[in-house]
Amino acid sequence: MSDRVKIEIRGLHVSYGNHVVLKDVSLDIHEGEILAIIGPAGAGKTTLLNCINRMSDMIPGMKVDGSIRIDGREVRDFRDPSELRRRIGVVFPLPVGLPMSIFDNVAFAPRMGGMRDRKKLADLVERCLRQAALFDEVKDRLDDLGTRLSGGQQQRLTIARALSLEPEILCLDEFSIAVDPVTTMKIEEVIKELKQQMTIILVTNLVLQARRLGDRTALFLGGHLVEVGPTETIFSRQTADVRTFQYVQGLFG
Amino acid sequence: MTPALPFCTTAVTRSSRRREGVVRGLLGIVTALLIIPLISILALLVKHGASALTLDFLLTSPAAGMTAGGIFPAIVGTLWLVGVSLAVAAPIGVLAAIYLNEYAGDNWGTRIVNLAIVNLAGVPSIVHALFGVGAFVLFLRLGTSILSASLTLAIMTLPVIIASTKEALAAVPMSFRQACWALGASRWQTIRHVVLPNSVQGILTGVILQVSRAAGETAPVMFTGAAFYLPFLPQSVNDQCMALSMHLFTLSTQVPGVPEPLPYATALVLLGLVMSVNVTSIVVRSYLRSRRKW
Amino acid sequence: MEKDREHADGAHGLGRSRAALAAERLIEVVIRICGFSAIFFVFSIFLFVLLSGSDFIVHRLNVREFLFSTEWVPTSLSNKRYGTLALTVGTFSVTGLAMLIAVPFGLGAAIFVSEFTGGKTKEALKITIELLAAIPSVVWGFIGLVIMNPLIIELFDAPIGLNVLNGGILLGLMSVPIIVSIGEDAIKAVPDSYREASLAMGANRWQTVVHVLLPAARSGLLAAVLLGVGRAIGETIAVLMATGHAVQIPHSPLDSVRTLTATIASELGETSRGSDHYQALFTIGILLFALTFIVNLSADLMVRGFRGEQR
Repeated sequence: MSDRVKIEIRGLHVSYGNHVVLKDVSLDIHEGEILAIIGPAGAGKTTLLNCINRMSDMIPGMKVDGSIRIDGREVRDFRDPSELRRRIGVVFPLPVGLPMSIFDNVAFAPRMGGMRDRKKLADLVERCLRQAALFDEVKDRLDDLGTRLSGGQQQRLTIARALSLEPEILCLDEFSIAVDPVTTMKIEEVIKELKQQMTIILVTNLVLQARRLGDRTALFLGGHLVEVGPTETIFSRQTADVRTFQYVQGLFG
Repeated sequence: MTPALPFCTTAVTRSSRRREGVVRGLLGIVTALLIIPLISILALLVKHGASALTLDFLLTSPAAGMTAGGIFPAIVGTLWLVGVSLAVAAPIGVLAAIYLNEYAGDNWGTRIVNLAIVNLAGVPSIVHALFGVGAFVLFLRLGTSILSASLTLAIMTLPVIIASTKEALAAVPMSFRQACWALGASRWQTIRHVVLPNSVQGILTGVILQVSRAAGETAPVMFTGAAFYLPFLPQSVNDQCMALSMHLFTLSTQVPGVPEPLPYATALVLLGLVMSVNVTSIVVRSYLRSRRKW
Repeated sequence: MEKDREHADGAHGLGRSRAALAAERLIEVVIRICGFSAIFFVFSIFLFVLLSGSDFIVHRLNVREFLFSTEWVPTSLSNKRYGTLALTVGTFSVTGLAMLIAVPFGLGAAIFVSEFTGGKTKEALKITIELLAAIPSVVWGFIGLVIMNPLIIELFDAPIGLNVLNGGILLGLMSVPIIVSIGEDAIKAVPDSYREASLAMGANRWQTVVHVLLPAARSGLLAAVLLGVGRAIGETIAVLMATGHAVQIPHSPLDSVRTLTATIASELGETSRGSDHYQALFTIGILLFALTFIVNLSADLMVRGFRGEQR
């Protein structure tokens, strides 16, 4: 984990209709770290992710002000948001298998980006499935429909898809909600491995998961960034803000 | 949000149970009364027309001032009209549905488009015919031709394709699209590679419905391209043609001394064509439903 | 040293070619155009029909006579009159009779299919209704001519079997499928929680339908009826063949009438292009357009209403 700032967020202010979702958020995300983001439902955590990869563009009625820079480049400066999204992998809360073969699932993004070489695609698919700890379970049935996999397998398939573009940033949004504990453990191992290659933002409602995985942790309440700091500090008595201590101890949530 | 109920305190009594049985029976009769016309129509048509329904009838032209011979040119003409109108209506309809379901926002423009589609569907067929005469036959100088008639039919059946396609597109879960967008696929890439291939079933249904309607319409083709009698088959879209629907109309209202089976047989052929198209659609729908990918 | 990863247009140095992006932009433009095409077509229809009758409308049209006179004599040599009242009454009398048949049967069937059947029976019934809807109007007209005509003459001792009754029954049967399918949608859209709550309170299914479901679905059901009405008003060929050719106000269902639609269809071929008669027929077309526009607009507002309620 370096000190170089990968993502620089300044004054991010997001509203949806009359409802303000994120209030003046400023945050640095360091290269190569795992940043855990915790907070109750509705705190704006998912919205933050949506702004980073400009999925917010696809939500009608969402107004985004403020600046988000990745490697110094403002995300809104990308004329084609797809370009931006190819550098950021995302895992959603609910597992999704695209209605095509497992192979095509993982090969989808590179194909859309222009990759045609069959050998290259096959190598890439195997590599990503291995990284996502799914290859051994599906290696004999890569032609099966992705939608027929179990929830836990689909979630790992989503990770494999996300990895297929070799992103520099990986965002996981409450990935373990619909997934069994064994798969959750497997995925947590995967995340620890991936940390060496990319910056990871882990939004989670499981406070203990944040403690296990996060290098630093950020707490969001009602659209505000309350506190961000090294995970040990956040989980200790020396938190900068008393609400952090209260939330982490489960006094509210 | 349950509404107020006026019978909360009474238990189900024997008489109310009997009333339910009676009512259920009545409703059943009502529904049956709808099936009876369908079956009787078919039966009567078959009874009176089967004798004329020979291969000769289907493959020869009318003769002796329409009082003898067959309906071959009418069948050919109908196929022309259906084919050309489908070729025009399908692309426009599918693309319009894609716009409405995948691109359009929730604003006034979209509401007006939807309103226009509902109204287009509700315009009387004779008004479509008037439009066809004014716009295609006269203004665009296409004359009375297959082209004029097909364009008129295409505009008339557009709402059918738009509605079925929209439904098919909407059935594809949003989560698929979001997963694709997050992977860097553009909207169109997602539509082309994920949404459209998985909407084929619904689109096919719409196409089949369009074919069925186009084959059966009389008024829109009467003045724009269909002719009472043509001595030869159409060679291009600039020719006129005969049509099954118009032929039935003509036989039963304009031609004296037609032997009884002829119009019945014509009606049978037209009905048979339309019904088989619809039955195909139903079969295709259930087949594709069983092969659903999610 | 800073790590300098080469980021072209995406990872692996991948990028979509400029040609591919341009093609995509083009197709999105085409999609947008097709999206708005329906508006263009509706406008065009209105415009062309209006323009084709424009001379007549501007110079010869006496609105009061057109709408309220019963004398439609466009072919008279000395005194041409263009009163459409009899035709309008013809349209509405046939439509009215049709609705008298179609609404109870249609709604009854909609309730039956929606609430009292399931599984295979439901499938079979829905398919039957769909097939009923597919019957072309010229076939219905033919039925009216050869089957209903003699039947009516015999049953009612009528002088002629091509009349309001004939057309009304045909139109009724033709409108039933629309009412059943949209009505069934409306009833199906009522949340199951209503049904469960009602049954839990001891009501049986019929009571649930009458007191709970019908009121909840009423705007959707009204829309279904309105769409059926729109269909009936606009029907041309079937009524042309089955209602006779008398331009008169009917005094009983056994009288012959002529509808607005049938008038255009039967007379257009005999007019010379551009003549007053020709243009008067186009003007009737405008009248029809306006009528069906209003009916469909109301139905659409209702449907929008009932979908909004269910949210």
